[in-house]
Amino acid sequence: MKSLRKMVKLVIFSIMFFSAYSLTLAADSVTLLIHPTLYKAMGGKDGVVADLKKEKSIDVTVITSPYGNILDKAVLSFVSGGGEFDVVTLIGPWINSETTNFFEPLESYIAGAPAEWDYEDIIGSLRKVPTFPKMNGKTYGIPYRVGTGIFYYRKDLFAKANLQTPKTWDEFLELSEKLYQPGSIYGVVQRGKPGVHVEQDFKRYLFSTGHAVLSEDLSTCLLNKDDSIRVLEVFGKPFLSGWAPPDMLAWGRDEYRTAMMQGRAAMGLYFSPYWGLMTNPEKSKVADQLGWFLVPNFSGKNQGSTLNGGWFAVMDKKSKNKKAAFELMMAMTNKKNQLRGGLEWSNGPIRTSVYNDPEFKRKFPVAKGWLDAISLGIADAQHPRITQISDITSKEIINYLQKKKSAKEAMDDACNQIKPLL
Amino acid sequence: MKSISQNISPGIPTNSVSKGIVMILLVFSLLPIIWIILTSIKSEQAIFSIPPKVFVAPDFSAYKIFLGLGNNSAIPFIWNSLFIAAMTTFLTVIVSSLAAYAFSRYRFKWSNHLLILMLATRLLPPVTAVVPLYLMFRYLDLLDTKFVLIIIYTAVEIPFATWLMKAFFDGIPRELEESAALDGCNALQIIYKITMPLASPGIAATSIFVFILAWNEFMFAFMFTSINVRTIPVRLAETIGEMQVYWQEMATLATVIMLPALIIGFFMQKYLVRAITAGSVK
Amino acid sequence: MKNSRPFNFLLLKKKLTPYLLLSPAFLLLIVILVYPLIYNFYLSFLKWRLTSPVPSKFVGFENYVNLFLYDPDFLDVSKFSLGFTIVTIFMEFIIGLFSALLLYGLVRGRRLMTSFLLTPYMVAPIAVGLGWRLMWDRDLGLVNFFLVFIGLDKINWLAESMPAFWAIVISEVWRSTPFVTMILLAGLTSLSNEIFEAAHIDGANRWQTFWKITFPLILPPLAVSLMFQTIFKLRVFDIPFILTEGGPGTSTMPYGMLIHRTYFKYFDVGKAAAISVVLLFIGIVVAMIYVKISKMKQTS
Repeated sequence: MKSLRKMVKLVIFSIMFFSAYSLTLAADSVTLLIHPTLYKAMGGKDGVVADLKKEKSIDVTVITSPYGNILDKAVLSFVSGGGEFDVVTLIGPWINSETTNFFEPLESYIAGAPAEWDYEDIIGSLRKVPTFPKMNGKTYGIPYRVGTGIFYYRKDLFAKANLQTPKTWDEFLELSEKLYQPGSIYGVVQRGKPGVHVEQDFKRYLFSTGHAVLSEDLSTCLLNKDDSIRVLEVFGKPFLSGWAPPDMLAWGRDEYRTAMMQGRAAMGLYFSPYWGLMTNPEKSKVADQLGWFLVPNFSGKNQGSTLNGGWFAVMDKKSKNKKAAFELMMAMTNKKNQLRGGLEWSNGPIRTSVYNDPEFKRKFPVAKGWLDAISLGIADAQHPRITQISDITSKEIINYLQKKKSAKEAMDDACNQIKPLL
Repeated sequence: MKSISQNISPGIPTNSVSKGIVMILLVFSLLPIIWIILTSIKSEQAIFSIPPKVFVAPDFSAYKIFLGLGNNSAIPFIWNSLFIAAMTTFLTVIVSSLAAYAFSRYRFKWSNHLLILMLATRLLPPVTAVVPLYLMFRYLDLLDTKFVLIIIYTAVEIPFATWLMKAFFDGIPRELEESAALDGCNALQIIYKITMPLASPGIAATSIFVFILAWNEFMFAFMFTSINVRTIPVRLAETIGEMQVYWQEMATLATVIMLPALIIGFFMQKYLVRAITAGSVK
Repeated sequence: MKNSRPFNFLLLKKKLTPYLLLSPAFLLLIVILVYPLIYNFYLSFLKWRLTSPVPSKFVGFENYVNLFLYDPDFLDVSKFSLGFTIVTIFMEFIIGLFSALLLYGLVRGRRLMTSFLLTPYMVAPIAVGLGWRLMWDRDLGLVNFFLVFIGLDKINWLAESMPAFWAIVISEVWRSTPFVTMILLAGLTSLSNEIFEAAHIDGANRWQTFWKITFPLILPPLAVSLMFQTIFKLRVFDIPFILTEGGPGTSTMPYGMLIHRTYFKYFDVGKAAAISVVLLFIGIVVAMIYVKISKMKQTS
């Protein structure tokens, strides 16, 4: 009996002891909630964060979170109103008329920023994403990392068959048939896993028409327009004709990336920052065989319009240290660190000056193409129900790929389900 | 214990066919694990080669990173997880054994209703408990502490542990307890001196499960901790990157996570075996 | 078993003893789980978007009506979840029972074998998912490699509805059968040998000994473990999520994924709460069935 009481006491004490925590933070300290890959892209512990401590004596506490859960965690903290994270990195569509209620408007900070930080140098199409001219004219985020859709292809296979890179979708389909080698090389690889995978890949094709899933004022569903239906047929053709992987409906990021890197694919539409990974000879069997071309379209003129994907830094309205938080946001996005991130830590830079930098051009010959594509790119619809809209789109695309519906039926059904959400 | 002759075992065939089946089950159980371990010492090129490669020059770099003391060491995460899981197991077994004993040995008002109510709390999907609990612990200023995870895990495991231990207690004859009661022992003494030792196989099984559930738990650990108390499953989830899964890192961490659970499982088993001795002596 | 006999020597001394014994457990449960449970019931009658500045509104049974009548995914999800639960529980019961009996029957190497057979349960669910994803891959997976080796065609395991269902079932059975095995093994080990000696003297054969004596005795822990497994299966998340993300389409999406996505992707708190209440009722029905079964066997 006595020994039991002793044991219980011991347990209580040890819990108290080991769960001791510190809440008191030094005056200039901020917390940053970020994706681990993005943290690596700012040099991790020894990169931007260490410099900020040295130069401005601001302590940054970094909390990393995987892609699928970063929004859960951020929203939980926003809703509870505790201001747990001063700066949070989010993708574009998550910054919308609802979530911005939790964010600090940044115009006054931007206006007060030192000239050498140069907000205007950030690529224009990216600056537009976290600003809401129609709603209230405010700016809620600073672009930090960007990528766009770009076709990577095997130069050697093209040369062997004496082929040119395509300019129109018809030429593209012809090529995927010609390049397909049964049993060894897929004509084109795409993702077909539900949710963000198939939907994102389809949007990279769809945006070549010059419009997104929703109209710009977010009031109309554009998936049932004629050109959207035609794009879906282009997207589905390689799979339905057998030039794409037969198990494409299970392919996610890893499958389609490694297919190219292992030399099992002739063409693929990828997020542009994959370039660094795919041309790394330690990881890729075809590192020196890769070329790129801009996303084709129906007209054959002004190619490159596609889906832009970007990460933005936003500030919690409830942050207790807003000045230091903005210092961190500037450090993440200034010229020096964006160039360093692009060169050393495989970030996708958001500044025009980085893409024009001679050293960057030397390392990434694809830089000019990236800049063009990013400038032409269209951002995803920033509707508060975007995730639900994406899931509906994904489901209907797969219905078409599984031949349960025709392209027109699938897109009509998608719009019927999306309409009540708008 | 080997004196138990096969004839009086509880009606189980023990011929070479059954040994063959054990072997098949063994291959089925171990092959994926061996594959994970092999993946942890392969470079990415080898992981994705076709046809699959079994033997490659081993590359232990990921182990060096995670088990070393550098920036990316996994040791603090392992320590957090170990401490939290061990504490959870300890608290759960203590609290649940009392409850299980009450349900098993006493007839009292509402006993069946309470048993069902206990189960009902476990029927709620954990994700729906996240928001109310987060708001509560935020208010109490307890987020990001080991305490908060231990308390949540213990509460989550209690229904399961109580039900299971009740089932095991039900199977134990009461004569010994009755004579102990006549000798003047109180309820706690009877539970800890007589019932629990007799039910030790069941308690061992229960505590292994409680430990493993706490050891592998991801969602609460991810949502309720940020800086001070990150656990190893949270670290493992980070190997699923923005553009790629870091396969080698993932497999290495998965192997590292497996080890403590395996060791504990192995040592807990001696209680499973010892019980036979107790039984045969009795 | 003499469960029906009142156990009253302590009761006479203190009527409060059982309540005292229960108090620590219920104290914790009330604070941590009963409060969210009640809160969740309340939420299921509200229209509330987590991120919306508009305050929540009482809407009665609208969430439930929407779910049952107008949600195209709910039916698919229910079909998959229930099918998946029934098939996995059945397989786990059969395989678990077999392995427990075989392990119990082993004289040499039992401890080592038990350790090995229990290993899958020790692996973190995320790692199980990722590991099996490598196994099921069409081109580089071991399973298809083996099929081709014995002269069969490759199967698109994760890309077609039926194979994906079985891939998820097998991965889940692989992971959690040890749970059943272990509980049965513990149940077998705590039985005393006198019972079997008596049966042996009575001339019962192995089969009779097992069904008439052993099985009823290990039934209570077996029923409890299967009941909890059923509850876990109904809201399974990690393995289907990592293997297929519910695909192809929504053909392998379990309740767990639907709730998570409704709550934290669509921020539709009311609807997510309504789904979890539905799940709660299914769970209670399942629990009733298991309790009935284990009582029936005991009395017979």
